[in-house]
Amino acid sequence: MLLRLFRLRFCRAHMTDYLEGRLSTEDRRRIARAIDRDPACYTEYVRQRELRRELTASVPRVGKPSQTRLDALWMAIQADLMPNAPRRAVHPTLLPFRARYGFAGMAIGLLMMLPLTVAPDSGTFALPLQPEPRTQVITATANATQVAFIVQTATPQQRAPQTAVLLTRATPTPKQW
Amino acid sequence: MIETPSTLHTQTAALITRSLSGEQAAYAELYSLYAESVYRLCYSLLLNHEDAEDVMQESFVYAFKNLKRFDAAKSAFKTWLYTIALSRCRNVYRRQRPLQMRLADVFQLEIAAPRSETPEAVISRRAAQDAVEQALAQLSPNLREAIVLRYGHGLTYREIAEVMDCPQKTAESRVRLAHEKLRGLLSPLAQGLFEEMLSF
Repeated sequence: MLLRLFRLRFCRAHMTDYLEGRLSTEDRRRIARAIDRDPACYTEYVRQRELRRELTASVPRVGKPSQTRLDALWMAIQADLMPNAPRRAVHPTLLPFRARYGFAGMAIGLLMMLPLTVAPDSGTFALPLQPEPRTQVITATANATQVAFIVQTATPQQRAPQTAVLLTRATPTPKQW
Repeated sequence: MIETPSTLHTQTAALITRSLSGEQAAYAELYSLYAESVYRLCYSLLLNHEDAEDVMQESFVYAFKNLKRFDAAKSAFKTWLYTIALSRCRNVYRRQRPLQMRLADVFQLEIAAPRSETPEAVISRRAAQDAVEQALAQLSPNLREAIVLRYGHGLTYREIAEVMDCPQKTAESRVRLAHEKLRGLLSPLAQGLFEEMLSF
């Protein structure tokens, strides 16, 4: 029983090669003997042989084209082979536009990269910034209608601070309800 | 005239020489010699007319533009063309969905029914065909390529290895595997019908 199983397994593994004539003489004889003696091996042989025959008959029929289809394809191939055939990749009329967009993109990219080229502490601006005045209120007096502030303003450019009097209208006190 | 492989080879060599010298008609003759087989190859692998047409067009355009590169000492022109077509087919089915087409529509096994064939036998034959086709549809691309090249185009194992860019032993084992898989995929009923069909 075990021997039969082993023989059948051997037959299955080598049947295609047997049918294609790719086995050594020794293996070929072995398979032939098994086919003659063992019905299971014989069935296997018949199945594989018929399958092979069917494939040889049917696969060449797959997708057989009509002459009209082939002629149409030849026209397309000829058009592609023409030396001055328009190229598919870039249409010539699009080239100036593409170049323009390319330059614009490059300029934007460079502008965006500009801050990266300047070190954070190395930058000094050509125009000095307007100095910020330092204003200090010295005194403030008020009467019913006005408030007077005496303020002292000093800028780095001025040697002595300047004193000025600012008068503003007093905000009326809200009525008490 | 019956075309043997050697006459085809000589004819192809002459056509290539004429094409390279700039003769336009030679290109057309080369095309008519190989168009059908290249189309069948593309279609059997892609199972779609549009894709097959695209790949075939691309393959011929590439082959004709690079005809100078073809080296007859390295391979036959047919093998070279198949290599070009196969690599393009691989690109297509790599980026596309798995095969969805029913092979029953593809395999136009319009075998003329013998006059003696009964309606039952016709039904049996049709059922067996469908079973075989469905089994074929389940093969992986590698196995399908091997089977198509072997049985559809009658290539030798050496040529299959060349076209599929693999060692000859791999090509042999792929055909063997495909064979075994096809046998395994066929249901016992289909096998019975199949044997019945082949007994006519």
